[in-house]
Formats: sequence, C-alpha cells, structure tokens
Amino acid sequence: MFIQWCLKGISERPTFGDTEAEALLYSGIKSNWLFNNGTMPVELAIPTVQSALGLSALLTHVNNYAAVRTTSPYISLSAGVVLADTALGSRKFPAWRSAMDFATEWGRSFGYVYRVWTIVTPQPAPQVLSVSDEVRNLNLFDAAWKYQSQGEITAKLVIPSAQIQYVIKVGSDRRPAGFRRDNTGFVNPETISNLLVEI
Amino acid sequence: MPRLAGTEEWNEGLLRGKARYYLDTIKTVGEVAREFWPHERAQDPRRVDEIRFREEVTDVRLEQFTEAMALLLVSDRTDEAMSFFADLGWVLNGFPTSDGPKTFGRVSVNIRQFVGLSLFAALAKDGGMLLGETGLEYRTSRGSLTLSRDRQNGSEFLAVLPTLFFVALATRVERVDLYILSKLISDLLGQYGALGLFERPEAKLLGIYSTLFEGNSSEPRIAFIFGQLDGFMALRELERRYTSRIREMRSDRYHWVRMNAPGDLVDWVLLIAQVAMLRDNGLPFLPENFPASPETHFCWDLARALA
Repeated sequence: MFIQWCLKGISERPTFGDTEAEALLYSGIKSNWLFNNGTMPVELAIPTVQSALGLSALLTHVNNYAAVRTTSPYISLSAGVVLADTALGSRKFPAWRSAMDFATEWGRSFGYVYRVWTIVTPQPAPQVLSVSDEVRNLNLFDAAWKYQSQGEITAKLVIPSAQIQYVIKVGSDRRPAGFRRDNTGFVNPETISNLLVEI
Repeated sequence: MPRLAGTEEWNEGLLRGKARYYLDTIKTVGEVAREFWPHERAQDPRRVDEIRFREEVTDVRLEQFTEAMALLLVSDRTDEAMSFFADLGWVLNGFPTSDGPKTFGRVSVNIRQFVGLSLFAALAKDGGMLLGETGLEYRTSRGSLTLSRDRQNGSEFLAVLPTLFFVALATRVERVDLYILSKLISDLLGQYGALGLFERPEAKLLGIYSTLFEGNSSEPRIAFIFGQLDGFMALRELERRYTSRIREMRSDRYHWVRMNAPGDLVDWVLLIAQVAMLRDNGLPFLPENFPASPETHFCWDLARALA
C-alpha cells in the first residue's frame, strides 16, 4: 500500500462558510452517506455502510454521480494525473486544478480546498472501508476511463481529522481569499510510513 | 456557422461564464500552482525544480486554453476562437500579447506545448513549421516556438509525429520541410513500428498522403506501411470515435447541461487533419460522398469554417 496526498474542493454555500469549513478539520470530511446518516447508531451504521460498498457502487459513484450524490459512501479526492503519449503529447492534470474547479464550481462561487492524505491499495479494494482506491489508474479501474483526467482517488465514509493538513479558501478567480486554517491535530503521514529510524 | 448538436441546450450565460473562467484564470495559474506546489516534491536542486514548475504552469495554461477554445468552437463562436488562436501569448505568458510586448520572442517548449500551440497557430493560418538549427521550430508572426532536439526521441515524440505532419501540411509549409518531416516519420516507423504507436488511427491517417512524394524514387514515401485505403479507413474511424464520444457525453444529462461531461468536445487531431486536407483540396474524403453522422458533419463544417 502507499500513502497519497490529495486535494478536495468544496464550494461555499449559505450552509457552508468559514466556520463550517474550519470545523471540518476536526470532524473529518464526511461522505454524503455519513452526512445523511449521522445519527445512526454505530453498531448499525458499520454493517449498513459495509453493505453499501462494492465495485458496482464505486463505479456508479464515479460514472453516474448524479444517481447517488446524496447517498454515496465514497468521497472523491484528486491526486492529479498524466495521460501519456496521446497524439497531442503527454497531458498533465494537476490535483489542484480539479479541486479548484469543484471548489469554485468553475468560477461561480468561492470555495475551500483541503489537503489530505490517504492510504491507497495497489489493487482494487472497493469493499474495504479503511483504504482508498486509485480510480485514476486504468490498469485497475478501466471502467472509470471517462473521468480519468480528474485524477481521482476515492476514499470511503470519512477522511479522519488526523489526515487533514489544512483548508484554504479561494475566490471565484481561484486566488487565495485570505482564509487558511491549519489542523492542530494533523498527523504527518511520514509517521506511519515504512521508513524506520534506528534504535 | 457550425454548432454541435446538443449544445443549444446549454445556458448561454453559463457557457460564456465557463469560457471566461478558463481564460481569466490562465493569468492566475502560476500563483495558484505555487500555493499548492507540494513542498515534498522539492527534492531536486532548486533550479531544476523551478524549471519544472514553470513548465507545468504552461502545461496547465495550455489545457485551460484548449478547453475554452473547444467550448467556443462547438457553440457557433468560430470567429472568436480564431482571434484567440492567433495569440499564443495567452498560454506562453498568461495574458494576450496585446496586453504586453507585441511578440513573445523565441521560446523553447515541451512536446505537448509544441503540438498544441503550433496546432492553434496553424488553425489561425499564422506562420509555419520548419526544421531549424536546434530542432523543429514553428514560426508565427509574434514569435517562434522551438522543440529542442533532445526532446525529439522517446515514445511521446513518436506519438505526436502524425499530428505534427498535419499541422505542417495545414500551414502550407515549404515542400523541403515537409519532406524532412516525412523522412523523419519514415525512419522512425522503420525503427519503432513495433511500439504500437503507429497502429493508432491518428498515425494510419498518414496513409492518405502515402503518395505525396511519388514520382521521385529518391524521396521517402511517408508512412510507407500505410496505403491510401488505410488512411481513408483511419479517417472514418476517427469520425466514428468522435461521434460515439460526443453521444456518450450527451447521454450523461447531469453533466452535459452543466458543460462538465467528461471528454474533449473537439478532436483536435481530426480537426487539424481535416483542415489540412481541405486546404490541400482533399475533396475525395468529404462526408458528402459517404454516409456520415451529424457529429461527423459538424466536424467537417467546423474544418471548412477554419480552412
């Protein structure tokens, strides 16, 4: 498995402003499933969400988001992608661009961009709650080709607070809008890597 | 003026806003990219990292510019797009050259940038390609793009060669430069044919010009493994591919009406090939002579408007 830095863009709304954006640093970034089932008892929520996970559900989340946007247990993140050797050359799509498009709704609103890390499996694991899937990798998810340029990594249920480094607010012109909050409880991913110090 | 079926459903204000978003934010790409440039990547010596950063900034500007132009071209704004194509300063500097020096000088670019920018200049009938002292060069009225020789190897360069050939052809390049480009393709076909890159329809399309230099046995026959029939079939394949892509995008109603359906609205390789053929009187290949989808007719209508 590997650890991947990702960005997540969320647009500003009447119900989601600076206060809520900062609160998310400490509550974690929830999937829409969790957002809409937040009061479900844990002993019921865990098996329920487990039964909602699977390859079909993941591909529906990626390819037909409109159908599941209020119920999906998955969370789309962007890590960027390079499309190699096309007839136009190798095309690069950085993570920030995708996150920025979603955060600003393509220039129609202010928004927030979060930097997070997540553990990604080297093979598909859409049913395993604690790890993320590298949907941008067509060797693993060829059915997700349509959205490859978004460089998607798909997490599940929630991005825990400890994995969120910061949030930054951006204007509709994508420039930083003067609001940035670092997560005081952030845990650096290097602390869980396989690089060990000598005893 | 040509308009892609289905785009009439788009909200006019949303369309203008989205095109403006892509163009207006071109000038902020450097600033935003630096904000989000991962400090973990700064393992290279500082200078190398800065060069890489600047290259990526231009790459992003080019992708945004390309998306803005695609929106204009499919929605009956060909003239507006043409005025943008003629000013590569948008991508190279982040603003139009009218807002600064009238030229952008002589700029060394990477393969993707060379292909994209020379393709746009060719559509605008501005300048042409030639083989300069340091490698391939594209000279426009406002400056030159150069692709250094050390970039001209590897699979990425092989993959774009057919596109470059059509860019060159669309600009009515000097016959001698077309000859050199053709020879390069012929040589590489012989050396790297097994890579599979030349199995793509974009490469087979070269077969249309397989007889370009016939009559002089000492000159290369470009794409010698492809005949005109291969080229013709490849053209139809690219048209079919474009048709099915657009139909797939349109079927995703949620994203289509928001102009967020994934995929390129314009097949730039097909477009420059069609423009080149029309400028070169490639009449036998026009869709009037064959059954064609409305999407294919749109492609040709667009190419006619640009030719």
